[in-house]
Amino acid sequence: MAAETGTPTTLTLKSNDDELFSVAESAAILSVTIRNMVEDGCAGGVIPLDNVDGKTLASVITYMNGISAIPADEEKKKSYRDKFLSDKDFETLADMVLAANYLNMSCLMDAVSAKIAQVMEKKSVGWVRRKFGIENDYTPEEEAAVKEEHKWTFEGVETDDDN
Amino acid sequence: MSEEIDAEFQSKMKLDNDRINRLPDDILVAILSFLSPIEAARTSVLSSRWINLWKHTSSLKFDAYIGRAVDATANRKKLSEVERGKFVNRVNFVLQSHEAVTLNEFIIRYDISGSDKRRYDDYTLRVDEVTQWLEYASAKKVPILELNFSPKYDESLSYPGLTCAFPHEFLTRSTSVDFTPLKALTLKYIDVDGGAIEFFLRNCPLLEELTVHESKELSDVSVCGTSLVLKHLEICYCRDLKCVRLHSPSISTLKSTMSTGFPHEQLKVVKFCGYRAREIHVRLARYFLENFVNIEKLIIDPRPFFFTEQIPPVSSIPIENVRSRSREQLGAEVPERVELVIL
Repeated sequence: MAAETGTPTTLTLKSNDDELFSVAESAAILSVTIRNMVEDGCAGGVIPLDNVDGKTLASVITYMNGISAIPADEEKKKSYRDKFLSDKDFETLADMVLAANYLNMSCLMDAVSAKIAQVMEKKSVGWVRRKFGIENDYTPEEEAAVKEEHKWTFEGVETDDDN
Repeated sequence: MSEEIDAEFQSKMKLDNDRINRLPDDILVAILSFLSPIEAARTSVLSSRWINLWKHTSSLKFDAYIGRAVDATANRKKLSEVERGKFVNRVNFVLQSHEAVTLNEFIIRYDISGSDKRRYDDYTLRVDEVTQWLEYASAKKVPILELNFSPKYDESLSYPGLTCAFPHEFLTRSTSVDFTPLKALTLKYIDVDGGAIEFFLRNCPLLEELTVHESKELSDVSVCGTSLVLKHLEICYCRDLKCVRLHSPSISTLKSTMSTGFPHEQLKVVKFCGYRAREIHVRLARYFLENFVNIEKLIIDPRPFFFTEQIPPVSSIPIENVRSRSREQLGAEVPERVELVIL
């Protein structure tokens, strides 16, 4: 282990588009998936991450390094996460949430999920459909019925700002 | 040319338009867990895929003040009777509809004191409703439970807020009551007694945080046990609190408005609420410094709050004077290893 030898152990991660990344084991084990591999002794060579592309993996590794450099201070970690996610577009966030889920990184998963939820907050159904490209597959009758049933959820909805 | 751009735009839109649909249901549910249950339920209308997703979220966090009004000034006003009744109905409707087997957190923040300061008997929350919520928390095996009925948005409040009765018999009544997974418990404006606190300590081996505010029934609390993993204990604004016995190996933060007799070596942070620079307060602060041998931080909070003493919350001494006086009084006495913070 790194702590015992004094030289940090480095892992090599491979994305599904065959990009290779070096990352300190101490940062990489934020991912429970990777930690399990390390603990099972399967992390000797290259660790293939079949569900993550290079661009997303690079971003996740930036996050791993950034957050693991912060000592146990939840406030600072939170502000790092906020800053890290602040400039990401939705497409990147969707990739990140999939990667975080696959890598079993709950702190990143929660932060990205919260960020996406924040976008939906107080927005009208129409706005969310347009923003997230959700196709309304209800028939007009069905939609009217669902709307009626969920009438109680429509209070406090903001006026759309994308018209 | 313009057609080309249009085509490019269209394809980009198509890509964009695929974005949330490519996430699997469990991730969408994780996202919805960060919304209030009412916001989450609104997503039912999006499309048929979304109709039941909100029923599987891992968190149910109800806040009577959120989502009821758009502008911030309206948010500060107290809830009307109609709104309060509606809120309770909605909570119960969501609880009935929700289908998750377990929950990570169950939180209800709701002001039970009436919209009219002079009428204390007009509140709409009944003890059987609280019982029902506790039953729900037990059935869903929640680690985080908060029942908070404080009038928190009305800081100018200068009359006693209403508290709600705690269904003490519920804890012992049923063998199916199970709070084993509890890690953090917050009860505010509920008249929980010492026996109930001890029930939670005894039956929740994972309990790390315990917060009780504004209980009229709390006079003696015993927080003792070598197997306790409690780290944060907060007992505030309980008018009749006389004694807290604390013997818990993991305690690291303690906040209380009544504080005599906690010799404890592990205590590092002490927050003294309602400090008014009186002689008794100085003595109490000295007591902390002498008895908590490993104290690292002493926080003096002179801001007014309700009920610490039987006097009106607006102190005759301006708060600035209290601050400067407490610095004079304590500054010289605080050892170097202790950080003195005056709020």
